[in-house]
Amino acid sequence: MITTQKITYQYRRRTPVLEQCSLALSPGGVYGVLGTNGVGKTTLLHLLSGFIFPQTGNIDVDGRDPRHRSVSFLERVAYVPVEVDLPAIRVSAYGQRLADFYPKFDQNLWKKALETFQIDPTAKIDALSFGQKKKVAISFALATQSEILLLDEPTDGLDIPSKDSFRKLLSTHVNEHRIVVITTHHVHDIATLLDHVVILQDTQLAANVSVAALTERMYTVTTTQLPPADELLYSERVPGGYHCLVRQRDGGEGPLDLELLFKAFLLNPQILSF
Amino acid sequence: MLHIEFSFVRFVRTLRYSWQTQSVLPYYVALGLAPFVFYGLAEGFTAEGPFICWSLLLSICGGLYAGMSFQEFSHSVRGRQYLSIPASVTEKWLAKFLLAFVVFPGLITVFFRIMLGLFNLMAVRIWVLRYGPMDWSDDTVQIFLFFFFLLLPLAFVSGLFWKKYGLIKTVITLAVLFFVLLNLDSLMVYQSNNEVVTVMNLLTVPVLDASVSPEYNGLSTRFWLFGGYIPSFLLLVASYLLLKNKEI
Repeated sequence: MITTQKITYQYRRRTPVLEQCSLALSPGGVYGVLGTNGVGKTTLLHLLSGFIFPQTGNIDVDGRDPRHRSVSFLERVAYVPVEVDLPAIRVSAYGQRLADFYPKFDQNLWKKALETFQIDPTAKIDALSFGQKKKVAISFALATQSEILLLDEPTDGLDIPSKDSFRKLLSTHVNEHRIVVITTHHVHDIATLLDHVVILQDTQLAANVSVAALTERMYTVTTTQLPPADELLYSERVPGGYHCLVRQRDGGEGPLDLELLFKAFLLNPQILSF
Repeated sequence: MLHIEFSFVRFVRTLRYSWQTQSVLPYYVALGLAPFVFYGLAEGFTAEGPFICWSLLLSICGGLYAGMSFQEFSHSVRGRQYLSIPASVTEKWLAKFLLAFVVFPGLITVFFRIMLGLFNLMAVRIWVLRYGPMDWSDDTVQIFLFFFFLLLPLAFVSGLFWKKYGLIKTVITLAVLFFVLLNLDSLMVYQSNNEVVTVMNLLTVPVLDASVSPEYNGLSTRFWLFGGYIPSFLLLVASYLLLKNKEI
């Protein structure tokens, strides 16, 4: 369980990024953190990882304070940053050298993930492209079997087949004991994985809702005609018609485009007040 | 409250990882500097040449290594990756400390001895120069080592304190500070005693020369205690605490 209680964080000589922000993330959940640029998505991950400390408020990660960077905390948290800067050694050597630090490290999963991403274990890391380095970092993070996986823009730099591989690998990683937090601007890449959406806006946690609750209340549809105004939550023109976010009336569940939902939310935050 | 977490096995792993991922730049600098210092100093200082070569190599490369080891924690990406390895801050600090304080200076000294032997072999045929043997028991060696290890914690702190180019910024700050102090020092003594002897001279001479009047010994001991050992120890502690509370 991850809880943050009224945390505030401000970079030096700047306005606060997060202010009095409280959040609860439960095991078994895959949380997608959405927000515009500079709203504090990466800052939130850094706070949860213990790289920076809140100026006010508390963070609790499975009963541990990230600020202390205790061994038991670090063993259960795997973090993949936007930019990865791995040592200039062979991929296999990287796995070998760090595996000992993680009691649950799964060598088979490490090899399988590299194979899925088509990364040659004998390749030197510094000779790899940005996307390939990212795949190495993701593979390693998954192989650590950490209870808490924090991924900052994980699909950045990945090609289309690799995004699919990433989704497959991550879906096998998820279980009722683990928490996965993903920040992204490419919601489509991870939409099928998410079961919760966290939205940050204006230094605050604006929403933390389950995808199930959302699909019960709204769905997206592409039509040639705009739906009735009392049903329509948001729409945008697309070639051949309209892409619409519509209120769910009959209690059924329909497809939900999270990117459209986010745009709708930015225009009218009330749509998530339920 | 200061909570210290330590496991010997994990420390050895951290040391191994730190060794395997250490910066290679100080080694390249040592290799690059070696021919220049050996050749450049050979002609003028045949007797003292080896000592000067060794002390130059050790101060430049040792300081660089210490600064870079700890600067790693200020690097936004690499620092986070290193900090997220499941080992305690104590183990990480101690691993870096051992490498910078013991292992690297030792390696530079071994490298120096090999180079000295090699250059002496070559010198007979090529340069017709020979260095005198290095006297490791000489007082100047001890004094140099004393200053080197006393200043090393400053390199640790500079790496952690500044976000970029910590060592360069610290050297510049120290040079300015030293220049100001030296001028103030000479000014003060000259005005009060009307002698061309500075406070700095009075205090440091007993360390370098044992035959100096014993009346200054006590003063000198206090000077080194409060001006040298204690600040150096405090800097060492500060490097640990800075790392413990480092935000990146």
